[in-house]
Amino acid sequence: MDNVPTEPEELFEYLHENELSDGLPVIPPTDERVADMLARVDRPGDELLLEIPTSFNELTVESLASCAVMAGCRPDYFPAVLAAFDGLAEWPNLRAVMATTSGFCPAVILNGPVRDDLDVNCGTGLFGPGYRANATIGRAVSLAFITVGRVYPGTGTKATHAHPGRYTYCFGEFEEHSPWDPLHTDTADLDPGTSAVTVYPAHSPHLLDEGIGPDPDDEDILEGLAHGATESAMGPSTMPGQMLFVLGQDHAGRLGRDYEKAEIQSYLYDNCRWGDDSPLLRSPADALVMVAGGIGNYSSVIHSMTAAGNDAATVPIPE
Amino acid sequence: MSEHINLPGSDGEPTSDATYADRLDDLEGATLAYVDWGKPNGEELYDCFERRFTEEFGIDELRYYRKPTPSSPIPGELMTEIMAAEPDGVILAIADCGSCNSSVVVDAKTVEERGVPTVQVITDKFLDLNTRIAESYGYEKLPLITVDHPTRYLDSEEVDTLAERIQWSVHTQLTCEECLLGPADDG
Repeated sequence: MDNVPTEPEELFEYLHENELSDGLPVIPPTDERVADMLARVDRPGDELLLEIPTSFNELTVESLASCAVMAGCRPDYFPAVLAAFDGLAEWPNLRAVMATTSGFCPAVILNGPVRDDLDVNCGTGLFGPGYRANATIGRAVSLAFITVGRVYPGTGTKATHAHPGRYTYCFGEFEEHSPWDPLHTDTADLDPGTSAVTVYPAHSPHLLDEGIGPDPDDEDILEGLAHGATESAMGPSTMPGQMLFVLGQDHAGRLGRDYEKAEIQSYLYDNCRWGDDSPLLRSPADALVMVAGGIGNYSSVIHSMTAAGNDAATVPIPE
Repeated sequence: MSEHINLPGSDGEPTSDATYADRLDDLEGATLAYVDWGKPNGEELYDCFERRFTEEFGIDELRYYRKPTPSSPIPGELMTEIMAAEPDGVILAIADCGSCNSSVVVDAKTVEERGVPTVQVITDKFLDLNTRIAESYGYEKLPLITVDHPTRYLDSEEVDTLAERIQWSVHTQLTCEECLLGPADDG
């Protein structure tokens, strides 16, 4: 591209004028910075990752590296960003997720040693701001859709409201506080010690609790999860498919004393039903259960765009 | 430090060559297929079309199919069933959401490539997205009719009025070779 300004302020304006911006300032993706990203992966820059919706322009490794620079990623984040797109390439209907009026987007979930290596927030306030890895890895994914996919509001996407996760949506599992095996061992045949990225077609997190009655017990927690998840399901989330339950530390600690993860999944399958007893999950395994967040009697459900037919995809991150 | 800015590529070209079906000489005696996106008033619009096309155009049959989800293209098994009935034309309706319009373009393209003329019925607020995706595939001439958004709140009488207003547009898009030039409005 010729005539692209090099001064940060002018580049910022240029990106706005050409609908190549998420509205936030960027690090100018100079050749040198992009090369620094590419140096962290053993993949050619001109490798085609996918024809990215909704423009279906070709997203290459080099273009993604440019997005990672713009997003503010450190070069050592780039293998995770790249792995996220290897996962997205597995989805049969990414097009619908990005075009939908209901406003979903990929969430990027990190498991394994990479969480410590990159200082990924898995605990207090993990869906919010404050951690560079969470903020910029998710933003790099989002910028690829905006700059190459041209998913710009109004023309490239018709999301009625969208949700703030479309700016950036990346978090890790707090495996050290989990009584169970981590998510990436459920969604892929991976060892718990393997670093992995899971991409999930996500709406915003919906907060769940165990109700306001006295002396809450295990049953109240489970009921709160199932009730809140069912009541918050809407439109493209009401066909049977996956749901992601992000259990906070208090809920995970309490349930972990008495329940295996499979038992919780079975409960959720039996109790997440709507209308005339229609199941919202295809099987117990569709209840993806992970542990993350801080202390407090809260968990979250993140609905997926089940109508589009994309399941969570997990990809190992090369060391 | 280099002063050259390496922005993500964003100027890709469409990768496929468009293939459109020949249009029909007439709808008289034709067997048509109607694929319902499953959105409110989609089935009601079928009922109106079925009655009107029989009375006005003398079609032999308007077969009804319903997609399991509006957000994904017609699944292979259903597409096989539709095409096995050898329809003379296919109506795809009503695409009134973002993912609906991403899938309706794919379905129209697929059916046109198989030699069967199509017409999409979409709501006007999604014309820009539909056009963007069609152009991305190199199929900027896929026939479509836009109707006022939203259609989901129309009552039965209003749906029939809508059917009356667009029936000749459907006829034209399925029969007029010269009309493969872009969208017709609901006037």
